[in-house]
Amino acid sequence: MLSSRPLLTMLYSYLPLWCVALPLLGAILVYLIGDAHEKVRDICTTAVTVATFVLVLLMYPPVILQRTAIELTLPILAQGIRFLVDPLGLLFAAITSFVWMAATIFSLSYMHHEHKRTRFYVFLLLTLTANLGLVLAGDLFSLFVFFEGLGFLAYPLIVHTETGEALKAGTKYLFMTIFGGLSLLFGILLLYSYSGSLALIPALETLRGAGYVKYAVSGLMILGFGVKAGMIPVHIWLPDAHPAAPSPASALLSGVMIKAGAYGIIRTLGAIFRPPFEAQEVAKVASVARHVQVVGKTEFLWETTRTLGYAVIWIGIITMFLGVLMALLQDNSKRMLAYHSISQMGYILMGIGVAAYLGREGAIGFAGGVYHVINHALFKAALFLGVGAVYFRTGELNMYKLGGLWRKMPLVAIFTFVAALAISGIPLFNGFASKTLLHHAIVEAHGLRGDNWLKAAEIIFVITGGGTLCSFMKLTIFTFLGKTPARYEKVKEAPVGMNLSMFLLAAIIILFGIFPTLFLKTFMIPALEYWRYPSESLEHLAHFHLWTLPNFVDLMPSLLVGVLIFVVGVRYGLFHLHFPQWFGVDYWYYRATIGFLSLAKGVSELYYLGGREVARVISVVLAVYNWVDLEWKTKYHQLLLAAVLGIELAKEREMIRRIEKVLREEVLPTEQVAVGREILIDMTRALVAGKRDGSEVIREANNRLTDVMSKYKRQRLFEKYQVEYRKVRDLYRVMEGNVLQRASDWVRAMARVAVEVLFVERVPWMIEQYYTEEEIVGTRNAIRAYARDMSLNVLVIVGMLLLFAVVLRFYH
Amino acid sequence: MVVTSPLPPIAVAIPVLSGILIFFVGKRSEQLRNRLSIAAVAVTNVIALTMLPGVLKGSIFKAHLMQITPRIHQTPSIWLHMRVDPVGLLFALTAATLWLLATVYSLGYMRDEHARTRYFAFLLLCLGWTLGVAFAGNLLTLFIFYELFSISTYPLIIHEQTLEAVQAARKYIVYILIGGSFILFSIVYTFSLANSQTLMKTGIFPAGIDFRILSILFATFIIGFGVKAAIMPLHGWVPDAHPAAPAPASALLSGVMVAAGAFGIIRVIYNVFGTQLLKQLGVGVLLAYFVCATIIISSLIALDQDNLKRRLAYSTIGQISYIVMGTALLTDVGAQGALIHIANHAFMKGTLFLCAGVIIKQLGKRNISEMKGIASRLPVTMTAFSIAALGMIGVPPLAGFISKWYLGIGALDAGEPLMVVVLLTSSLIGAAYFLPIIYTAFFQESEEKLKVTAKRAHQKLRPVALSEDSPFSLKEAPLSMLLPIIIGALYTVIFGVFAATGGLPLSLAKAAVKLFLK
Repeated sequence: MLSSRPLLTMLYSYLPLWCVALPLLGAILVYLIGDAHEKVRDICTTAVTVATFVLVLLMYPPVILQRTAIELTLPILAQGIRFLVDPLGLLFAAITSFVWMAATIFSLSYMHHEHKRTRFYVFLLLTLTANLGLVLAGDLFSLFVFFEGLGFLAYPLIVHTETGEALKAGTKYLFMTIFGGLSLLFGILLLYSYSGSLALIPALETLRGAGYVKYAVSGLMILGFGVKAGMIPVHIWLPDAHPAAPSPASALLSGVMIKAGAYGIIRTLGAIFRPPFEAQEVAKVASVARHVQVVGKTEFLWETTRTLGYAVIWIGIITMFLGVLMALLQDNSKRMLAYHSISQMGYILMGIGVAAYLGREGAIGFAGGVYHVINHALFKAALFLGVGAVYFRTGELNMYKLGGLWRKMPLVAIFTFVAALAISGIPLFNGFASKTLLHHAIVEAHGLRGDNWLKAAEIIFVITGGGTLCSFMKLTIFTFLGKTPARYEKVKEAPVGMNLSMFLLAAIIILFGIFPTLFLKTFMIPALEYWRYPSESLEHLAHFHLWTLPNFVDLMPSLLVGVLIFVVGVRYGLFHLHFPQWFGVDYWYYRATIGFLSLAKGVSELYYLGGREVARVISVVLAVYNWVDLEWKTKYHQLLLAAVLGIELAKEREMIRRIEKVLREEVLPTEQVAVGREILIDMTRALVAGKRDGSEVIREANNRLTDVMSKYKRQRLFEKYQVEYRKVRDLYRVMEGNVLQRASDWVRAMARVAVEVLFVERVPWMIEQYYTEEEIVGTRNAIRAYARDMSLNVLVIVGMLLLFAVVLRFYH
Repeated sequence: MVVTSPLPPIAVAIPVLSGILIFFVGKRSEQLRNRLSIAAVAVTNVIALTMLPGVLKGSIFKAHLMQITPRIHQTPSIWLHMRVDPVGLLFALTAATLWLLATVYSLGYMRDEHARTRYFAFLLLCLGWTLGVAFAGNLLTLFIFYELFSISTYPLIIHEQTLEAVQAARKYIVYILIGGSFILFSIVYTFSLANSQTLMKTGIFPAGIDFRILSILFATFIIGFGVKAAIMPLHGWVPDAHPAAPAPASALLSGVMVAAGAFGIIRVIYNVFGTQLLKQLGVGVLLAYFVCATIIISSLIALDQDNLKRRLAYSTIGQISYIVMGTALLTDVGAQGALIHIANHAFMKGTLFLCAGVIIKQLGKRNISEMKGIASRLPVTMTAFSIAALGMIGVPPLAGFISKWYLGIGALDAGEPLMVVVLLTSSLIGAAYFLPIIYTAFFQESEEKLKVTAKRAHQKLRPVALSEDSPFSLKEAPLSMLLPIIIGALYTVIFGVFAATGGLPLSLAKAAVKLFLK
């Protein structure tokens, strides 16, 4: 028995690794099985998610019952990956693996008609790995690694359908995620450099000297996590990504993945940006004077936490209100649910904010926030699956086009109703408990600190609750009640797998609804103890009475507002309003992106413009340089040619350059070419020198060329040449007048022919047939230039030595 | 502990001699030539690896080869001198390993190219010279090998002999030689100032030299090496040379040759000037800010490129500037980041270029806008490409993330949070120019396929017809090309996930930092 103890501990300590590794291995297995054995693959995927859930639950005894956190460090990556399972992490891990299991079971039937299913399942399991790793991570480095991993791995799930819309949403998601990741990374790096530690422990004391940097750090981290959490104003990816993804993926995105952001913010505010835990332990045993000193010290530190908490409360309030406002205006049910995800994240943020704002008294905010994370994961997953089931059977997401479906698919209707009641915070369903706790939290924040703005926050909170109720009345009434449109007469109940997964979620929703304190006792109190909240507030929470009259009375205004909005909205068609484009944050992001891209284009264009200008200067320099390099004879020829042939056109000049080049470069000892060259040089020389008569030159040249052609039996070329020759000859005969002019025309024409002859003749003994003459000559020139540039090099060295001689003289 | 060992000169000699041998062998037997190339590179790898355990333990290998200049009065003689320290070995191992991948890849890639003998011969010569640069024990040795290396690269860039390649190579050689003359000048002047050329760990300048002169000297050194390290505005040759060269050569160009410039700057900063002196001069941070501009501007320009290789080339300019920035920060962690980024960047960018080569060879596509849906035809290549590209962006747990992490911490240690912002912004822009390639390749349908599908649907035929040339069929490269790509992608993962394991770049970087910075 004694000997088995360390073994058990060791086994436990490897549990987090197994939780993370199992889905990863499962993903590899699923990939290998692939499309060949669909059944095996599906069973495999489900088994892996179920086994992962069981593994997570196995950590319950040591972490919650024995109150020992599991720690494990793997020596991989630069800093080592650390796992630390405390009650909060375990709680998130449990809900993550549970919702994943439900979504996987759902997707078995939902994905049946979709394409690329193997890819979907592989990434489903990979994201599970990343998400579990994130919530079980023991330091910020590991947390960041999994956070980024989750962000990237979720992309294939979002764009799964590969429609243009999905790709657009995916791109937006991807860049927001990267932006958030970078912001988070910056925050973590700053934190590390100032406090020297990445552990998830209070770091505020070590940051005391950092001044405003600590606000920058926490701001960056909250921003980074906030992108994932759908915090306003960085939520914009969410309303696009959720409808684009297949329903199981949206359920996971909304139910669990965005919670990763909330989890991060809880860790940031609750674990890192707070005074050290030890302070209050010390205070208990130390003398009164020391107690005062210690408390004074921590009071000072709490000030920062409080400021941050206050900011987060307001971010939460704004997020929840605007989320609901936008949700009310949607007709696409998935989009509506996405906006509700934003709104519900606002609730959670507010809870976290209150926890930080109230400091030691903040247990209720903490409990409310975390409880709502769990509840939201359950009911939002159920809602997405319900809407997904409807879509699966009807192919329609617009709620105004549906109706009366409860007769066709009663089970789906029941589960969706349960989830809708839960999200609206109706008693007997799980949302009620967390919403009540959150309401108490905000009231307490107002009561304890006396900030009157928080009263306004409470009012917004109540109105938001009403808006939520109203919008779910809209969803359920338009989808399930009323008349069934004719085209949906043949709709059947959803498949068993779908109903099973929704049943799992609905069962837990009702269980938590009927026994609201069950969760508080099993998970929340140990977590709060672990976080060293004072025992009085824990007592208070443990005996929290939800089923009291005041709680119901508090609920009333919210319900009334909800029904009122619904009635007024339907009556006056307010739900079909659309805000002007500039109202949405999205529009401004779009503008910013366009601006950024045009900036990039501008920079690039400027760069090329600069490059062209420089190139022009260089080419002028090079031309001079080349000119100087030429032999005097060649120079003379060029000059004369230019003068005699009266070249104004750049094209002609180019041709002369080419002829000149070929004549100069071509030293290959083939007779043909040699003869051709001879003729050309002769003629040119003769003409240039003006010694012989034009007609004489022509005749002679013709004879010689004809000889060459016939000798080598180049029939085609010969004919071509003859044609050209006749033309030129006729020209010569007809035209009277300036002999020089005619001769120059003729030379040009002949030169063209001759060059062509030379080019074609070269082909057999050229290495690569497809290179043009120009390129070959260019190559040769470049290689020669290479040697010449070496001399330039020496010149530069000498120049610099001279320069430095001057500098030295100046200094010494 | 300094040990005299014949290994460094042997490591240089083997590829050089086999390169020369290939000139004679190549014409006669293709097979012999190929085997000889692979064997030479592999043996070089083994030799470099045998030095690894010793260097990690802290010993330094050296070899005096020959006297270059005699002793004149007070001036000591200069030897061709080799010395293997952690920085040098890191660079050498990176180069040798990448070379092995590129050589194997070349067997497949160069199959139907012309002038293969010339190509392989110069490939091997370049490896020899690179190792010479890495193992150089004094500045003159460094310079000699550096210049030999630069010149031997020319045939690789001009290899295709198209007009484009000729112009690019011309541009390359002019840039590099002018840079070389700056280096030579700086070396001569250093020699006259310090009367010593050894690469010592604390810097070689005696106290009491005018700071203004030292600053100018530092600037000429940086200009000299900066041409090869592609610091803007000295980078002009990079975006032309990379697309023009054959894919394996561009992989080496980007992974090793451009990094050789950064390596020279590392030598100048740590060994010639020494961190103490540079801190007094205050030019380190100046240089770091100067390269920050390069990082951002090159990333923005990369965003605007449609030619894949050009985009990669601009990305290289930015990434090499990471190395220079990390070095110029003069902090421990920054230096570690810079050093591991040499290896990380080499393998990531090498893999990307090799993948680009496969795309060009197999599908004939050079522009990103044509790459819709190619992942269904080149699944392995595009997966490797994605891994390497994500690594470049710095996604954990891949190699680039480790570099980014260390560089970020290094910048903060130096008290420069602005540089972290630059680093992260460049990551974001990096994502903006790498991710579209990945998602067009994986998640969009190719236009040919859509056209064919629509046509067949119109004609009411079966939807898919698999033939050799249909736009649906698999068209993956031969194994000799795929294997290096897969290994390169694996390195990207291993250098990230197992970064802390001994023997990988990080351990060498730590040893180097211990030697030079503490």
